[in-house]
Amino acid sequence: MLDLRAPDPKETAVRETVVSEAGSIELRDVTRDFAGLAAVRDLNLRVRPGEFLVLIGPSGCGKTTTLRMMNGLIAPSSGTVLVNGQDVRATPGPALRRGIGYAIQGVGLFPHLTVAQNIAVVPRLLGWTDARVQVRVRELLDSVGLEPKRFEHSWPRELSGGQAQRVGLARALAADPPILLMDEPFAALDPPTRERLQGEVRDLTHDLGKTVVFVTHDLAEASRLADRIALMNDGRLEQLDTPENLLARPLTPFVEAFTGANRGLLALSLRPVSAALQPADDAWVTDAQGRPAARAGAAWRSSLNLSLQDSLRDAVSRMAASGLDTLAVVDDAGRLVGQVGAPDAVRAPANPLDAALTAAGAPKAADGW
Amino acid sequence: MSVSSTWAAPASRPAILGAVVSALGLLLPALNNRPNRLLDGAPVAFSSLGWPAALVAAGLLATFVLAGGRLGRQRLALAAALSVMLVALCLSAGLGATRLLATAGPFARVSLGGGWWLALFGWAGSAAGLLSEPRLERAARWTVLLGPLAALAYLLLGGLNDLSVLREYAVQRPIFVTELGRHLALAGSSLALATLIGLPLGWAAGGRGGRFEAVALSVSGLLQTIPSLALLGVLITPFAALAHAVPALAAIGVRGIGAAPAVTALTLYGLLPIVRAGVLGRRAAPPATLDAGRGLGMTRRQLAWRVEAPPALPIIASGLRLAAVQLVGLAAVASLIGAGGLGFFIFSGLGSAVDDLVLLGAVPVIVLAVLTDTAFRAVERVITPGGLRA
Repeated sequence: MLDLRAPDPKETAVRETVVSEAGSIELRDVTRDFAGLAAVRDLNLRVRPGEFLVLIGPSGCGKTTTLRMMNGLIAPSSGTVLVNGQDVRATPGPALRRGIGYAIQGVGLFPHLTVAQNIAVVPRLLGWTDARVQVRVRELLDSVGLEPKRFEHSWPRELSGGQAQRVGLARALAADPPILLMDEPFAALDPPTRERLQGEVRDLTHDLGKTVVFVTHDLAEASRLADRIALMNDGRLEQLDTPENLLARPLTPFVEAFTGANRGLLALSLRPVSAALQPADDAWVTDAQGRPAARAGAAWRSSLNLSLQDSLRDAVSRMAASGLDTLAVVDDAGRLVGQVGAPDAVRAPANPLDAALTAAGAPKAADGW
Repeated sequence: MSVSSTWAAPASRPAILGAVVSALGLLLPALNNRPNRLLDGAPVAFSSLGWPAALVAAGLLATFVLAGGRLGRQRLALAAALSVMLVALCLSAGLGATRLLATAGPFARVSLGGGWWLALFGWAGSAAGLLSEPRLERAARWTVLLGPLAALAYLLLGGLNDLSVLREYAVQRPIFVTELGRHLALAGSSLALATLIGLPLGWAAGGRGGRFEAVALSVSGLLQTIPSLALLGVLITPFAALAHAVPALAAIGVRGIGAAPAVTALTLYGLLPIVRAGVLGRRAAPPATLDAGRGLGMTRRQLAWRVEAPPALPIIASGLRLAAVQLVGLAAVASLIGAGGLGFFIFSGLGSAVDDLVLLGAVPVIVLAVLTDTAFRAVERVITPGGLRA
């Protein structure tokens, strides 16, 4: 078994000096049995303050159990859980959990309370004044993209799935906890809503400097959100790494199998178009404003243009859909800034991913272009 | 109101069906003119009752026309027609009885005939049909209720005193008050006992384990399938033995017959709806809300009161309503083992073949059941949180 705790000297230094542990979570040699079966075994994991960590793995791998040990909903059979540098056993469960945000797949909005009352639950438990609660509720509704005037007096049954999950997120953030735990919060949403919320959650928690631990079984979601991904299998940590490394350099056969056939495409989705940008060639015809108007010898349409924020996966997808092997890259004003070609899109230079992609056989299609 | 919504509202079938029944009733005898309390008498047709009967017919005709058309704005008019019809029914009975008795002997009795009851039954169907219309206007709802209120006023003012049932009531008044009180005490105390036993039982059975649930529900279900008379009979022996063995119990009135076995039997009958309400109430809160409540830092007690209780209360109240209505009806049987109650009039009436005495027991039982149902529904509405209202 690999020693995954070991070598980061900076991290060791931080742990020893104990500067500020606010927002950190650490599991030391944690095991949890259920009726004699180990759901989590000898787990060592440190979540850094301000980090977005995604726990992923097949169902039954122990990821939800791991999450629930972080706020004391489940007690470890052995080992220690430290939150903000303190052993969770030192604080009574309810008091501990009031300081940690919690959002789940079923949302669990209280049906007999209005949206505003739902968001106010934790501040009320903490004894905030009415005035302070009201200001905070409106602020939160705003920050999760719900118009306060329109939604604060709504009942949960009047909300769509996406709106309900936004309220759930606001409720989790209500008392401004440094840590946010989320258990498959977007699993039940339709894909466009899910993607929009993923982006918003990532931006919001980064802006607020929250530590987030997020459970999912969806690798695309994990790679879109995570600073680091912790891939679990059978109660153990298989690999703890950045999304890029996890996809490019699987450390165990299980990781390779789990990341699977989509590994190459997922890796592409993490790389921006700018990574494979080439100067525009002579075949482009531009208008007076410098916007692409046509391409010699190709059935070009403006809807195929890429922006610099698009991923290489978007580029490959549009190439496959249109049959074109070269696409225009435009800036926010629509002016031509360069192009992306089929071979470059899947073979960004000086990236270790190349080897992995070749090994996986992905560039075959590119050879045909 | 827009024209389209008027068109969208369909005709009220229950109201029409009720009107058909009422129309049949008008063809049958309205009253029975009898020489004395026991003998059958001569039927009296609606057609001989003059203007009040004509008013009944007019109200009925209006009901047909209004309920048969598309119900829109007409719902208020239909409500008014129904109210007029009920008052006219009462007037035709009261004035008719007075007129008939004016020329009859001292023992003569005028009782309500089959036609009158059928017309009343049809009216109740029409009124219930109208009241169950979706989004019924408040004005129409109150207008329908005006009829019963006016009828009640007419009754209390003595307008119906010449009817045989009320003659019977006048004779039995002191006993009636006592037995009504006993009836309420029997139903009320058994409801309270069944709640004290059944609610904690159901709540516990509805918990996550779930193994206990099947037992609780099947035992209380089995109790309900035992015929009420049989259960009362079966209880006589153990209670007699108990009173014999424990003199202290005998001293406070526990005997093989009387209130003790009756309340016991009624309590056992009341268990099923209450146990079931406890089970369903325990499960009313979606599991995700319990997880969220705990994850947000609620204590056990906060979870129980703030998350589990609010959605459970309306369900429990509706279980109590079912039990209460059942017990008000069943308490009539208790008089068979000497516990008294309104059943006393029903069974002594049946025993001596005096229909009016039967009615004196049966009609109040029906009225009590309806009032109990209405009162509990009002409570349910009040305690249902806004977010859980349909």
